Amino acid sequence: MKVEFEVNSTPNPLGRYLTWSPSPCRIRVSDPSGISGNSVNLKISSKTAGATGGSLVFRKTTSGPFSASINLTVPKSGESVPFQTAGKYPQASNRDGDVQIEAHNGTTLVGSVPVMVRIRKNANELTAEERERFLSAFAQLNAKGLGRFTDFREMHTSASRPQAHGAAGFLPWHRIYILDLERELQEIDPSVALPYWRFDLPAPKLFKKNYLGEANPLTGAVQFDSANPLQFWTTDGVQGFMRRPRFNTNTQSANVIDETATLNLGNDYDAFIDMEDDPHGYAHTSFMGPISSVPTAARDPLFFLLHCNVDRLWAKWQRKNVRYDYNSPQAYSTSPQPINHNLTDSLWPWNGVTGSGRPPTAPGGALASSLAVSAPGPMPLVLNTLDYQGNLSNLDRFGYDYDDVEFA
Amino acid sequence: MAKRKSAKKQTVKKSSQPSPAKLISTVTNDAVPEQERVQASRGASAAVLKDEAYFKKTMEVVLDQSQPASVRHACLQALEVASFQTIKFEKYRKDYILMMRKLARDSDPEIRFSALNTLSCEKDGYAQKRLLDGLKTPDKALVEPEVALQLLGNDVHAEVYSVARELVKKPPSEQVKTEALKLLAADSSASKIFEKVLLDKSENTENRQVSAAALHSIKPKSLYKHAASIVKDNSENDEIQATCLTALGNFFSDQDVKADADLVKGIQTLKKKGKTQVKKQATQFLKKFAE
Amino acid sequence: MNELTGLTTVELDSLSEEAFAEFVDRTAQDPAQQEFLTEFLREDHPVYRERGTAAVIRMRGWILISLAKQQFPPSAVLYLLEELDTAIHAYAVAAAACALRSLPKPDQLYAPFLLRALTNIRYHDESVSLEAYGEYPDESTDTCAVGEILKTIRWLGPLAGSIQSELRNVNGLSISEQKELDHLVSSPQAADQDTPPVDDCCQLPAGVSNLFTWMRGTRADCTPVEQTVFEDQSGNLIRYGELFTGGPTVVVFFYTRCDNPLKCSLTITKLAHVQKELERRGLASQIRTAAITYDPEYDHAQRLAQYGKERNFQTGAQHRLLRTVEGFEPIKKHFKLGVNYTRALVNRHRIEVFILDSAGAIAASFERLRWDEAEIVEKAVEMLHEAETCAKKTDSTSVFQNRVFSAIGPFAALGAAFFPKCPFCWAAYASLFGVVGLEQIPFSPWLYPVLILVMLINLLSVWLRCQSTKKMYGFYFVFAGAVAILAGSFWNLPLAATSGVISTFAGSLISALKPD
Repeated sequence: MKVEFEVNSTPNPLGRYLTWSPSPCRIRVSDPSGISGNSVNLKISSKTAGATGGSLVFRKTTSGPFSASINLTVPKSGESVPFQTAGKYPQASNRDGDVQIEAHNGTTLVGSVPVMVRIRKNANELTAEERERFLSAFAQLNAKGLGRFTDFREMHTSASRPQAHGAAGFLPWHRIYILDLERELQEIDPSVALPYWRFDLPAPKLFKKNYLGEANPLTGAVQFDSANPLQFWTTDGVQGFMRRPRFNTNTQSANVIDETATLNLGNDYDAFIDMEDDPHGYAHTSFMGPISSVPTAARDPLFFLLHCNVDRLWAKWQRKNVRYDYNSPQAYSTSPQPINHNLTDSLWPWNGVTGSGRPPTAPGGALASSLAVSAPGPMPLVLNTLDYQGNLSNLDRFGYDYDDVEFA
Repeated sequence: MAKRKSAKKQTVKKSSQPSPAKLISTVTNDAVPEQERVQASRGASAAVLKDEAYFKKTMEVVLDQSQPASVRHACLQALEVASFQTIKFEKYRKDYILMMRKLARDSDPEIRFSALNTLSCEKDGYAQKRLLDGLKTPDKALVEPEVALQLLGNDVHAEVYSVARELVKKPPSEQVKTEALKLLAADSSASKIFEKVLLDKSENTENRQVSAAALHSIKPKSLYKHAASIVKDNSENDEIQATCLTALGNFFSDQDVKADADLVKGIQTLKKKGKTQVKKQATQFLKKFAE
Repeated sequence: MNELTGLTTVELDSLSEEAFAEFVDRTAQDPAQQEFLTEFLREDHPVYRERGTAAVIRMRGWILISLAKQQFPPSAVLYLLEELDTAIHAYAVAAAACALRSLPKPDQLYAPFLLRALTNIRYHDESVSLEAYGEYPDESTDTCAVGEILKTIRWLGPLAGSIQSELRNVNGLSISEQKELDHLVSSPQAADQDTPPVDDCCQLPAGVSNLFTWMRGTRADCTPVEQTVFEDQSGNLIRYGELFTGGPTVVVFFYTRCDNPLKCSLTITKLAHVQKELERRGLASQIRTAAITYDPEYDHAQRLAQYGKERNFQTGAQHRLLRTVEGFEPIKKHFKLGVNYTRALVNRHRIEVFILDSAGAIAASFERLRWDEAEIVEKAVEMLHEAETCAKKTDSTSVFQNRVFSAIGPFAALGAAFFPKCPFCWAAYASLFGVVGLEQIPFSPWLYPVLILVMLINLLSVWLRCQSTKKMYGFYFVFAGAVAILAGSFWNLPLAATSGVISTFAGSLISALKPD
């Protein structure tokens, strides 16, 4: 007897990536030999490779509690039986396929599938292997074609800057922006999740030559190890970048308000959005260099890790205050906003809309897709960005989670 | 820093923050202790967006060279933070740029650098002109040449390439040469310079690494050719071999590498004989392409 | 030597900006020299070579300001509108807006350009000095791009009525600018003149539309660049002559490092719109689109592919992004491109779109201003119809020719009978026209022996005639002609065959002439 699994509604191995949000799965008998009746009882559980890999939980239906294992009756006919699985918070994977979904008939293993609990983690705490995979994918993405900066430059010119800054849409726009980047990284290496720079804590490992680089104390030029592919980082052809810290990167945090203060800015979105100023703006200006200025910030790869943390803070605030429902007046700004910042606005540039209040071009094309999830679609609206975990509707999940933000 | 942290912890709820008027009044009041003014400046970034008068008052503090440096630095950072809020900041932008141009000549080197950084990121013609003047006539320099080159690199269309070539030919220091090479990487007609530096064993390692990266951007086939020969060359230094292995392992396709039996053989030798870092990279390379 | 200034290229390269400004000041004072100075606004003018973009902006802006001190020449209005339409630097926009006011009279067609300039520059404005060359103020000058735009809108007065509704929605400017704008939109004059928007980018004031490099109705054939090799976004190599013949093409120029989204990025975005329209009309396989980079050394195939993909440009055999493989100069020269460089990097370029006819010749160009996709498609369709008509004409002409000439052959031969000089002449004429007639008959391999036989008869008859007249040069002509016709027929050399026919004709005629 043999069984087959389908994870995230796809037989494609590139869809076998999980988060804390429930993922739909199916199991079917692929080889019925040895089954006596019309069906077989199977125990579904997970097996972690090593001591620190990912771990899973399961449930039979789309609601109710999760448990470490479930029992399913699977027809001999080959008909699929649905169930759900999710990463067991906070046990994320360290590498691809370090946890398996297994099916046992009694004590006999009759089928398994390797999966990954792919979670965005604190950049300062990545394992060496995770760090190397991330750097390699990031450097390859930047070296492929034009790199990330070409589009960023265009998104931050005079006519385009207001689309993403200085109003309520700041957080939704950047949520999609870094999701787009992360999915592009995953096209190169599907095991990579974008790490975040927790700027309110010291991150000494991050600012080393084997990671995001160390600033030359005299010139501010960022230097890398010879094994670090980021030494090949160019933007518009210019090689490297400057990053002069205004704080001690070995012992101090950036000059920002801390996480507690950020989460306490208020329980209303209109109050919380002040985080664009502090900690976001202060994190940018904790350095002198391209990262401290709007038109050039993405010349420094740290920019993307900084915004990952900004998104994480929003995610934490959402969880703390239960702000996933766009119908809730406290979950998003209710006052009229400039275009691209209102709940029902489609987000530029992914929407491809130009002119009539939008910038004249929409560089970058539609949002990159994922084989693990279908949301938020190629042209998301502002309102799609709130339920990123699929708390209200499982189909709306974006396919990412943070290591310290549990599924609600 | 510790004091800043304690100030942060007091910022728990929005309602507990002082009013914008109070914050600005504290920041601009000479009679208030320096540290208190610095702490109040954190709120100034948001406060200035609420009233043009607050913005002007904060700007005056930054421009006033008689003010304590820490207060000026903190206020300057607050204005830089405010500039991120494009829509709200639009009405202040002109004055902000004018202030930065003045600050580019400030006696405080950190303020001077910060202003030139902001201006160069905005591709400001004034900053470019002053930085170029400084490179051509060191007496006029507002910052060190290696810093000026980096700042000019924020605009790929700056008039700097001829100067950079000259600095590569006759560098006043190795750091200047390195930064000039990084900038020249944007000039696709400079590939011969990079080939020469990369292949010159007597050249500084960092400059050779920069040249490898520059070739990767403007003439990738040339990098492949030279990197493949460098990793096979036993007399090459570890650092440059590691850089070449990094390039070969990350940026070239299976077809490029697998078809090159000589290269694979050379890396197998490196795996056996190289030093730790190179050995590790050779192992990773072979795992990816040849095993 | 440079024909405009009397300076050599080397001298122009080393010309200081100060010397340039003095030259501009001096020249602009003389109204007779204004047209001459306008020539310096061409992007490809050698004076801009090896200068950074910021310097080019300073220099061009200063020309606009200096020209405006007298009455602005009509031939330069296009340059003003170009800056308002696409410039992203405050100084350039301010200079253009200011210079517009020196025109003899306002025109409502300027209003949409001013509105676009306001949108382009408002989040990137700065104080500028229009008084002294190259001056970057560090004190408020009371002059900035938005300020100059508002002054010019005021100058337009009621003629700015078409943009009133858009202006009413503009907020967030500084207190003084917002006040000025509010005043402009709230004046009774403005309200009275609220007219429908004239936001047609291709509608230009009289005279301006005639200032393009390629005049409509003229063609620049592609012979000089026929052999130029391109690499496309997939790495395929193809020659100009192969790529751009057999159907019309819309060609644009761009480069991926362009930092003005209103130029290159918008150009590729619009070319993608053109593709969509062609597809909608079922013409995507008949009308090509191509985008050629100004920066072929940096814009490798992979970069081209990504730039196009991110702007929805569909690639395929008929639709490509291209870089020249060996140097860009022939293409630059052929298309008379408005581009200049500092080292390998573009420092300034204009927007340029071309329509090539089916022979790869430049049939039309659209330059500087934002172009209209529909107009481009119409022009390309026009070229397609022209090609189809020509093809039909060619087909019907050749059928006609075949029939007529094959009929003429015997008739001509009969006609020759009316002019018998002697029996030899008769034979000579008959064989000559026989040969000509045979040439026009559709290809039939079995006719070759006939052709050879007829030529032998002709040769013999001419030889006999020449013998009788004692003048052999007629025979030599016919002999050479026969060899050429045979060579041309066997090795498919049309020129040789044609020369052979002419030589045979000449020899036959000479031999048939009455001896003195």
